[in-house]
Amino acid sequence: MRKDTYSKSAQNNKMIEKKIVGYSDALSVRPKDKISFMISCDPEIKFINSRFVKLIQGDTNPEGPGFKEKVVEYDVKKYKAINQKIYSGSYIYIPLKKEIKLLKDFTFMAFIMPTLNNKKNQSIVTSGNYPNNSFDLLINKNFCLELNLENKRLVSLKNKFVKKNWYLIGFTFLKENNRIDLFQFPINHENTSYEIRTKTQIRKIFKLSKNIGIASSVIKNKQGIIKNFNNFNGKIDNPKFFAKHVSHSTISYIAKNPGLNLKLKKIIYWDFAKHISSDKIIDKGPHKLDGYTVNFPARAMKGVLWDGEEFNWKHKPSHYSAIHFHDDDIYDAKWKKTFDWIVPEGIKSGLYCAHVYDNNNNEDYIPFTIIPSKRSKKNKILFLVPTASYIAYANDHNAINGQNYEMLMGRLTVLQKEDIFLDKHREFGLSTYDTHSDGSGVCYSSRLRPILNMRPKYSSSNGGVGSGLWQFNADTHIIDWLEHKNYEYDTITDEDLEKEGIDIIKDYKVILTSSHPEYHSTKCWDSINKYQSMGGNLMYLGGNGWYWRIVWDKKFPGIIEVRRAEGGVRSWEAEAGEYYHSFNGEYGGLWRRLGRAPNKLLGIGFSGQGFDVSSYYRRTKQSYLKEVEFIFDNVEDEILGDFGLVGGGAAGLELDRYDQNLGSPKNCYILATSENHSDLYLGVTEEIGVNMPNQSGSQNPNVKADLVYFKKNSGSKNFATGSIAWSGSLSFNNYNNNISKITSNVLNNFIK
Amino acid sequence: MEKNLKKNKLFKEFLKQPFAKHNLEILKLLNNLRSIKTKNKYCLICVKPFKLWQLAKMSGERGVPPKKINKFFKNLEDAERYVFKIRTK
Repeated sequence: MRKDTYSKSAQNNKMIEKKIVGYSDALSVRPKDKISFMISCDPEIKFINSRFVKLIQGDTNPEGPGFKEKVVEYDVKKYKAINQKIYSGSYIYIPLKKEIKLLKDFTFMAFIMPTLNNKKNQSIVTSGNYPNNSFDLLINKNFCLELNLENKRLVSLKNKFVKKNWYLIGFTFLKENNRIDLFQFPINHENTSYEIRTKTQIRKIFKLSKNIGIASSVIKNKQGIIKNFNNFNGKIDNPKFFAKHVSHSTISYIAKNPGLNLKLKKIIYWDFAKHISSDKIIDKGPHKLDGYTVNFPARAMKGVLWDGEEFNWKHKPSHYSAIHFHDDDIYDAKWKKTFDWIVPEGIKSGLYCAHVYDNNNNEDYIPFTIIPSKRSKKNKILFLVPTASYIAYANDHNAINGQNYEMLMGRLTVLQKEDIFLDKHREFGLSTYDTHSDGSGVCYSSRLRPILNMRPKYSSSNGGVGSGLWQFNADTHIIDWLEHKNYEYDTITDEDLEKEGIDIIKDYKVILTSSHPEYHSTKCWDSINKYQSMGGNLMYLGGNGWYWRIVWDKKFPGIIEVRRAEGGVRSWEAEAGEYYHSFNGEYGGLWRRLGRAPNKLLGIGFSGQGFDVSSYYRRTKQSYLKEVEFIFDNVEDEILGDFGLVGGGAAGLELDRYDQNLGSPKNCYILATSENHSDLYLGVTEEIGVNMPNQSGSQNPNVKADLVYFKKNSGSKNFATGSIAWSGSLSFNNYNNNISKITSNVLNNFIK
Repeated sequence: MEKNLKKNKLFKEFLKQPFAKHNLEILKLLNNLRSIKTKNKYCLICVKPFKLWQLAKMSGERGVPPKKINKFFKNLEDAERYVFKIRTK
C-alpha cells in the first residue's frame, strides 16, 4: 500500500495545478485484451512515469480509512511527455474530392437560429482550409451576418441578430455585374427587420475547395487530422445552394413560407431530416457532397417548420431538420496514444487505474474496470460499476458555475483544483448537468476525454459535509469494504451490460449496485428485471437509483444521451418538442414517468434530497420479525448509521422511500426509516403538483429513506438502502458498525 | 432590544455549530445570505485536501477564475464562521 503524500508546494499554500491529464479508450477490459491511454502534460513536464494499480479506496479524508491501492505491475515505465489539445465545438465536415467553381448565377440560403453573441466570429458555411477559406459566411464579432471571400470581408449587414429567433439568411450571386446580395430575413418574429446589402464588381471567384465546414471553419492537415475554428452556436436548418439567382421578392416569400419547396435546380441540398440517429449528412443534390457531424451537435432538434403539431421526430422528420451546434460540444479528444496495456491473464476483476506521474507530485489516475473473461469461473458477487452515471456527471461544473449552489449545499462552495481547471478549460467538455455556453442543456456526454471528477482523491462539493463522496469515490467505499471483508467479487460496467445484456449477469448470486446508480438504458433496466425474474439477488446500496432513462449510441462507443423531459429534479429541462432521444427515438425522462418507477425494481424510489448534514435510520417493528432476523444478526441498536463520512450519517444526500402507489411490492419489509432530516432536505420536484408549504425535512413526511427487503416469486431476494450516504458509513470504527454488519449479514445470506 | 437579543441568539447558535440541523428561523437568515448573486460571492479553494482552505471570491463568469484572498482556514467550520460574520456585519 502506498500512503498518500502531498507536495511541498501545497504546504506552501500554492494551488497545485492540474498538469497531467489523460483518458483511456475504454472503461472496461477483459484479461488478455488491450487498453490504450492518452496523456497530455503541461509543456514544462518532459517525462512521465506510469504504473498500474488496483484501486481499493479513493477517499483521502484522514477521518476515514485513507487512500488504498495495490500495485499490480511493478515495472514502472517512462514516457516522453507531450502536450495535447482538445478542439471542442461541433460542426459538419464535408470532404471534397474535387474543386467546384461557382461561375454562374447561384444562391445560398439556410434557416438559422443563433443562440449566443460571444463577440467572436461564428462560421455558418465555409470552404477551404482555415484561415485560407475560399469563402466564409459567418456571424461576425458584432453579431451581424458577413460574407468573406478569400479571407477578406466582402460585405456585412448592419442588423444584429436577436438570439433564439429564426432567420432566413444567405447570399445570391448574379454573374451579370458580378453582383452579390447578402440577405437576412426574420421568420415569425418582428425583433429585426429584413436587410439586403449588395456588392458589385466582384472580381474573385466563388469556389468550393478541399472541404466544406458547416458551423465551423475547418482545416485538415497532412496527417488527416481535422481541427475546427470559429464555432457557430445555434441551429442550422437545411442549407442549400440553388443554381439560380433567387430574386428578393422570392426570398421574402420563402421567409414568410419556410415550408415552400422551391422548384429550382439545386447545386447542393443538405437535408438534415435524413439519418437523424447518426452522424451522416446527406446531400440530395447532383454532386452528392455527403459529410458527417463531428463532436455530436444535438440532432432531433425542432426546426424552422416545427409548429407543435408533432412532438415525435420520427413521425415528422421534416419538422426536426435542425441541428443545434455548440462551441463546447466534445465527443472524442482524439489524443495521440501514450501507451497500451495488455491486461495480464488471471488478474482479478475489479477497479484499476493507470497511475501517471512526474517527479514533482503531478499525477493523474485514469480508472478502468477489469471484467471477467467470458469463459472464466465467476465469483458469486458482482459489483455493477455505474459508468452511465459517471458519464452523466462527467466534468460537471456544478460547484463553480451552478446557480445558488451555496444555498443548495448549505455551506460555502469548496472548489478543488479540478473544478478550477475545468472552468478554465471549457474544451474538456461538460456533463449532462451543465448548460452549454449558449444556455441550452447538455444532452450528450462521452467518456473519450479526461474526466477529472471520475478520479480517486477527488472530493466533490456535491457530497455533503465530510469526505465529499459523490459517484466514483463514494463507490470506492463499497469496493474497500468488500476487500476489507475478504469477499471475492467481480465488476462489470453499465456499458458491458448494455452490450451483452442478461448473459453477463445471469451467473451471479448477487449484484451490488453503486451508491448512486441514477442513469440506465432500457436494455439495462430490462436486464436487471430479467435477472430478478431468474432468481438473482440484488443489493441496492444507494439512493436516487434507476431515475433517468439514457440511451447509448450504437455506432460511437462511450457516449450517452439524456433528454430531461417533463419533470424531475434537473438542472435544465428539455425544450417542448425535444423529449425524444435522437439516438434511437425513445421518449426521454424519468423512468417513473415512463411507467417504470424504480420502486418496481428496487422496492423504493426517489423521495427527497439535501446536501448538508445526513441523518440516521430507526428500526421498525417489522425489522424484528423472524423472516428478516438474519439481517440484524448481532445488531442490537435501534438507531442505525448515526455516523459516517457523508454528512455524519448513513441516511443522506438523496433518499428513496417505499410507496405501493409507485409500484413497491406489497410483500416488502420496511426494516428501518430515516428521520430527523434537516430543513435543507426537500421533497422531490416530480411529486409537486400543488406546491404546498411543507416541503422541507422537518415537515415533509416524504423526506426519508426506507431500508427494505423483499422476495420475488422467482426466489430473488432484494435489499435496498435508499440513501447515497450508506457507503460512507461502512468503514466507521474500523468497519465494525451496524451499517457494515447489516450489509454483510445480507450479503452472506444472498450468496448462499 | 428584543429583536437584537433574538438576532444574537440565532447568530450564536449558528456560530456554535455551523454544520448542523438548523431551525427554520436560522435557515431563513442563511438562505438570504447564501442566495446572493454569484459575482464576488465568497467561496473556498482547497489548498491541501482536508487540511487547508483559502478564501476566494467567485467571478460569476464562466472561465474566469475566483479571486484569491489572503485568508486561510484549517477547518471548514471556521471558514463558515468568518464569512457569516462578514455577511452579517
